[in-house]
Amino acid sequence: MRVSVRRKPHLLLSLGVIVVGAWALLSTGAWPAKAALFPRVVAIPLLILAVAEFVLSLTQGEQTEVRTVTQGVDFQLSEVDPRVALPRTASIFAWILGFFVAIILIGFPRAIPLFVFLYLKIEAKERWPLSLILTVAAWGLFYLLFVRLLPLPFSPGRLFL
Amino acid sequence: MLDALVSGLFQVLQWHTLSYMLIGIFVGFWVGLLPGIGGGTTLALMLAFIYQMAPVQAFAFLLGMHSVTATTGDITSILFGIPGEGSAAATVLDGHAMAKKGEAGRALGAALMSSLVGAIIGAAALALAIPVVRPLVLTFGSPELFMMAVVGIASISSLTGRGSRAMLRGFLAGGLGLLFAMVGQDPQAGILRFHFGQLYLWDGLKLVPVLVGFFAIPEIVDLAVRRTAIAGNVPVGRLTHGVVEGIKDTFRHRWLTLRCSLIGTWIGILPGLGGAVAQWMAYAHAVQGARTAEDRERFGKGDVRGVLGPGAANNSKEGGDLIPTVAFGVPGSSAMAILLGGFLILGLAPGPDMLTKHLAITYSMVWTIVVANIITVGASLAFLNHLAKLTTIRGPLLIPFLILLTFVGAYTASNNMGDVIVALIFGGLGYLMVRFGWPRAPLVLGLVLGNIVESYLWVSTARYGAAWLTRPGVLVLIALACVVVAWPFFQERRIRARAVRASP
Repeated sequence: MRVSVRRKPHLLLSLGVIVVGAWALLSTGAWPAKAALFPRVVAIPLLILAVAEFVLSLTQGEQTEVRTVTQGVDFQLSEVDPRVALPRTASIFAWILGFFVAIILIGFPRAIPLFVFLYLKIEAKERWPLSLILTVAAWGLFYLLFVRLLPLPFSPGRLFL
Repeated sequence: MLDALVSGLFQVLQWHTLSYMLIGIFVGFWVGLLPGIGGGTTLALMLAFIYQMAPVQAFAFLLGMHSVTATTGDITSILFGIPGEGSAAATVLDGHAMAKKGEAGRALGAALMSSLVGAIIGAAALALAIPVVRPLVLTFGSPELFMMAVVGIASISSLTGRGSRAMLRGFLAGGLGLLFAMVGQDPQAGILRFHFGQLYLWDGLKLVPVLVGFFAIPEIVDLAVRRTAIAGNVPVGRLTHGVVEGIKDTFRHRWLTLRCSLIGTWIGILPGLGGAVAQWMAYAHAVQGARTAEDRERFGKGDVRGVLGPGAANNSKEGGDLIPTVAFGVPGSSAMAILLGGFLILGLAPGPDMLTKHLAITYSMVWTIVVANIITVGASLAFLNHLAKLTTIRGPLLIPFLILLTFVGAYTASNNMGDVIVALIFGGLGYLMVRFGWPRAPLVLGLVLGNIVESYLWVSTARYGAAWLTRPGVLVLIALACVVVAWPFFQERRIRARAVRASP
């Protein structure tokens, strides 16, 4: 039976846990008993349970999977047409990663106004005045609270070192 | 004793003391609201200001600040899904879900009122327990404390879904959390584990960036996908009328609030467990109280009981925390360890003296917790309706601010870019877990308890060998863990049998 991860993307998570569990267990081989006891106590059952979850994910139908998701004690993602949801999800992750890269390159104090303004202008398609006001507000909040009041050490960024 | 109790109250209500308390409350209010800036860290920063204060004034200032952070931390969790404090994460699950249903006011009312009730119960426990707590605490050795943690993880893992498959995922998430807790230097042999050659990871994963990323990023992604306000298209009028309903909910579910307050107090008394554990244990207890499978399914999707339990426990643990700190000089949490520094600065020695010579000071702490929470809840209730309106702001306008708070909040943990990377990684993991129906709560509890569990397991094994497994307290707790795991199956079978009997 060939089941593609594209058809059953939830396999990825159990597969990931199998890899993490196996790697954790293998790592304990080089440690003294004191340090290895607890990781083994956790990794062995984790690995067994992850394999069981993987097999169940492979063999059980889509309905069981949907039931497990909807009956869980956690919030569920909003029901939006996948053709719309997928590009929007990719877009927000790209913005988050873009902000991270900007922080690395130009530091928090410069990345914050740049990110807030670009997000409001490009993604939210807000008008110039509102985008500018909110950008100033975000930067002001950051500066007053984290730079002046709680003087946190922010790196100037790789480009300004 | 009664004299000391009354004297403690009068000392707290003196003008100077009350002024210091109000300053502390003001600081604590904002510290609680802002994600990442922990109450413990602020407590450490504020120690420098108490040198010139009298002991009662200093404790009014420090405890006033600290006890309020737990209360206001819930507000950010509910409104934006970003835990204001590490110990306010459990409130995100149902509190923010209520905000998304347009019930932010009700969730805030419930969180604040249950926090107040919890704080009063915790303070009362502190007042009553001082003479009797010593033998109670001494019955709990390392083996029992280890088993307590196991019961906690078993409860939350088995209760975060319906059926064997959901339980399997719960245990997997709990195991992952325990594994993540092992990152860094191990406490027994000093070996570096799972650190990928990164100096940042030598100290292990910091809780704040993990929680901020884990809970905030999936919510931000969902908000970006929906492109509506947090409260969807609910009319503003409905939002702002829920506060009184939330307050009523606290008394409607008074036994749950009371039980969760007692859970919080007890967790506070036990060394090393702390507020995050208290919240999740209380959450698990609230879920356990569901009468039917359908009733349980409401949790995580905006059930007020999921707000009341953690809200009460988070605040009642403050009183519990103080019991071993004041009575034995054994801090129940890292914040209490910092408070011990305050004792030394003021020239006080925790222990028998605090229960005899300085009993009035001890009782002033009890009153500080009560008065500070009454003031905070009163002040918050005055403008809760306006806070609830924040959930009607269009999502695209809020998102850059939420991302900003998430990044800066994570960064404040140790002022290292590693904190931001950890928040991003856990944000991605949190999103996948939500997307594929894996419960996040057990992972958090595993992470919080991991180090404690490992230490207790090692001490138990080194001290008693395998014989610790036969201690009466341990046997009782093993049985309790088994009951907790089997309970959902038993409950489901009973419901099925009832349905069969009811069908013609």
